[in-house]
Amino acid sequence: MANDFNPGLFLERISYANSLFKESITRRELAILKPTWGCRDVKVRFHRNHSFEHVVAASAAWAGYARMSIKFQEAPYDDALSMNVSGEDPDLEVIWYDVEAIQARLGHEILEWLKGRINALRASTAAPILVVLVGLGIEQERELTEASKSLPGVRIAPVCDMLGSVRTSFDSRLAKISGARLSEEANLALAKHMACRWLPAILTPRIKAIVVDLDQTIYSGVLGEDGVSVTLTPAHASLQALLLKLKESGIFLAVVSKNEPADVDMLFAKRPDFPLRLEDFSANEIGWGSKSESISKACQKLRIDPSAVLFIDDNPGELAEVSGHLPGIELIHAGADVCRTARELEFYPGLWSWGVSSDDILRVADLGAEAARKRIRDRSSDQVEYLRELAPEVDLWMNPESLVSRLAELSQKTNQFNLSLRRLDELKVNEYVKDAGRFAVGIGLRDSLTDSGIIAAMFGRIDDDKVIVDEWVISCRALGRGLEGLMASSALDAAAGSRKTALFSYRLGPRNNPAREWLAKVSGCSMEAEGGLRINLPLLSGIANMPVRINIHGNERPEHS
Amino acid sequence: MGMKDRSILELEIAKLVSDILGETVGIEGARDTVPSWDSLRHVEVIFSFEEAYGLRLTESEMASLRSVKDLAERTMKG
Repeated sequence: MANDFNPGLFLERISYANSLFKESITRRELAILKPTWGCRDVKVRFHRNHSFEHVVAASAAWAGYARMSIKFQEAPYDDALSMNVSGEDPDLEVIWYDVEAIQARLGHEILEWLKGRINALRASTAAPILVVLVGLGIEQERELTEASKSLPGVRIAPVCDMLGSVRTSFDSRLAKISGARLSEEANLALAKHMACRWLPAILTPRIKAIVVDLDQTIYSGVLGEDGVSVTLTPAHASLQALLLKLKESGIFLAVVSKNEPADVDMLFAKRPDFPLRLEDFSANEIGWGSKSESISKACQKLRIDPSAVLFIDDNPGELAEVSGHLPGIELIHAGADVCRTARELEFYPGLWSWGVSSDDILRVADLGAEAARKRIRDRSSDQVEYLRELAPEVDLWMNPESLVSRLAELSQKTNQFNLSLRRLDELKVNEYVKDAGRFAVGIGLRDSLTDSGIIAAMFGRIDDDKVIVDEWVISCRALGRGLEGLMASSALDAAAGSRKTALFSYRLGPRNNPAREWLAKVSGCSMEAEGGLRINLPLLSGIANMPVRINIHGNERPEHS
Repeated sequence: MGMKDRSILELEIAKLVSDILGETVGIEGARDTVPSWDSLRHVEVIFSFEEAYGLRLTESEMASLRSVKDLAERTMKG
């Protein structure tokens, strides 16, 4: 096991989760739950007209589970939302506002007023903004959410949906005493959504895959040779349905179990009552090796790092083995209470996202086509023949305002082909999109097998006779088709005009070898820890002869959701 | 409820208040003497008190119950 594995902390976290995700938890129980592991301080600046303190207090235990400690600044009550900001930007700005009074005054004009206030804050801070509005109608909330999509780094919390899950949203006794009218039940639900869903979805990378054990985890019982000696309890059926829902939101599912592969095939064939089918899993590692090795193999197939994985197993020993060998992996212990496991999965930090984009949906299908691509490659005599059969098309989206969120996601999440590791957020991406003299290119890829969606991004600047590439990223699942140079060259042709030189910035990171090796190869130069490499354009000779269609578009991709 | 029971109740409530405030509060603890027991934390104390004893206070009680002893007294009334 890795030297830094701490069995005490590991067991404490399992015990903590058992308390946190039991059927109901009180404020007092939350107050005494203290994480014993390291938590990152998250500085939050509130802009508010009602109290948030008792929600933040209740959220601490859930935030601790997400390895965050929320630190907030003193915030005056301000009905006018003046958005006075001073000092250093926090990690997050939160607009915490009960619209009841202003709605009575402004009526239908409230949305315009709110948009104006959000715009004002957007203009005065570089931090992401979370808007938590109490008292808006669901249609108003939807309209504001839609309008906010044009503002980088702004997220409208789905408060109406959240309050729909509680029996009583408001408590008329509280307004005078606490300066807030939400009921305690609503406060606790809000605290949980804040800490487990909304903040992680803004501040941390999303988990990319859920790896599950089989026996006693997604069904009851141990798989025997007859393939039917297991029971699907209603709770297990709900757990499987939840896993399926997460898959549909763009998260890979994989199986890692100690069984005979033939038994597993037979199980799924004989159990049409299972919500999950074997083909729902993008990678299966079924055998008798260690779980950590099997997860590593599954990650290679999925082209992701184990630190982007959530592993669910009923055996604490297996979880400990995995935790010891794969630092950073997320874990859920599937204990005897299956409903509790489902609750933990439902609110596991890093799984929830701000809406499912078309790229999320494409991701799983795209990886599913990888085996077919390999077969084409194996039977092709060279790259040209391979591409001729694959028939790829590259779509270049120049300065695409509608793709700011996706391009930021690529910059922040891509680990292997990420040349300078700048980790651009939506605000910074928006600057490349909007600023004269700078550019952002979103690159889509499709072939005869699938549409891979937007899988690469280039960010750069024009500097007299050369173009400076500040960042060049390609999603791992788009690697291996031999199109990296063609995509870079096409993007540079579109962005750089007649300029003949490009300067690529790069930085040594823990996992970005593929990007640096590519740059070293096309430049023919050796690389330092960080710097820039000058390359004459075009990057690759013979691109014109490649059987690849390249389409250049304006700044919008209308079908992107 | 006798004196002994009342003492135990006060200790229980002092422990409840301590858990919420994150610091030790004795049976003599009151909003006037415990600085961290401010108006916002008081709401948290009341929420937890109601949950623990299955009570629902009126708005005026929420404001007027200001100490461990007040809360114990209110519990004994049922």
